Amino acid sequence: MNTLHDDFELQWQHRQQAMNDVQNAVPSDELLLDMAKKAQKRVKVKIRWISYAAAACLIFGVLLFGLTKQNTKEITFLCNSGCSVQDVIVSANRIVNQ
Amino acid sequence: MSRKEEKERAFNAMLLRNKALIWHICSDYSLGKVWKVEDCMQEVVVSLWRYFETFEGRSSERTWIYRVATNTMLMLRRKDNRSPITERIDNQEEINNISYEGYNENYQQLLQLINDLPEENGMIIRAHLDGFSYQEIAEMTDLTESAVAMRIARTKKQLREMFEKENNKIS
Repeated sequence: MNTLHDDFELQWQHRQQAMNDVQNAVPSDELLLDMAKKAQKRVKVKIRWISYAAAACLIFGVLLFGLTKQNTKEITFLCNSGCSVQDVIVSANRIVNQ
Repeated sequence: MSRKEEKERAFNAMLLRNKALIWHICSDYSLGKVWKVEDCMQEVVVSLWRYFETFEGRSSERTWIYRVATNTMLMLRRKDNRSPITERIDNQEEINNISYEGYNENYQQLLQLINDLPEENGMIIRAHLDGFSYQEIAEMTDLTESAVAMRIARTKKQLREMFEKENNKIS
């Protein structure tokens, strides 16, 4: 058991040295700078797509809001013009389905 | 020099200063996986660039990089666990042999045991093994220093027990 205990400590110390062992395997500065360039490009493209999506959502929202407001106006007009509830419901259905 | 160029220059300098650390984290977390260390490094560099502006210098640069890189690698692992590819499972034995090449059997075993730890404990024990102080690990994990110390002691004990149990089984 003691040997195993010592062996564990030995491997533990070995792992503590891993950071120094890696020094010889690290990629070149050129490769790293190339990765940085690619990363900057990727983030820029993503930001551009997010702005396009946000703009599209905004336009869609404005259109939807405009249409709803227009429908509400027409239904209010029918109510105020003395139509029966039945007529208003039929007309409202027609407006919404248009 | 424009602000953008200045930022890119500062980022590149930071990467070059810490390239051994980034490489070490990527190779450590990709052990036993089919990912190429270079691909992991690219993902880590993307994350570092994305959060570069949020680095306020409250912790050391090394601690910040360690935290971002570790979180990126953990995210890759989670993604990999959610959508495992059949080919990967078929070649698992081969992959492990390749990944641990050059290490002795008992060292491999310790690395595998660390790899199998729950995420947070794995991160804490790795940071401890990589020479970070209790205070730095506490900053990375939002735990108190005493909690970090306790976790390290418990996890090391647990690892030792598992290591001895495995070796007893073999012998």
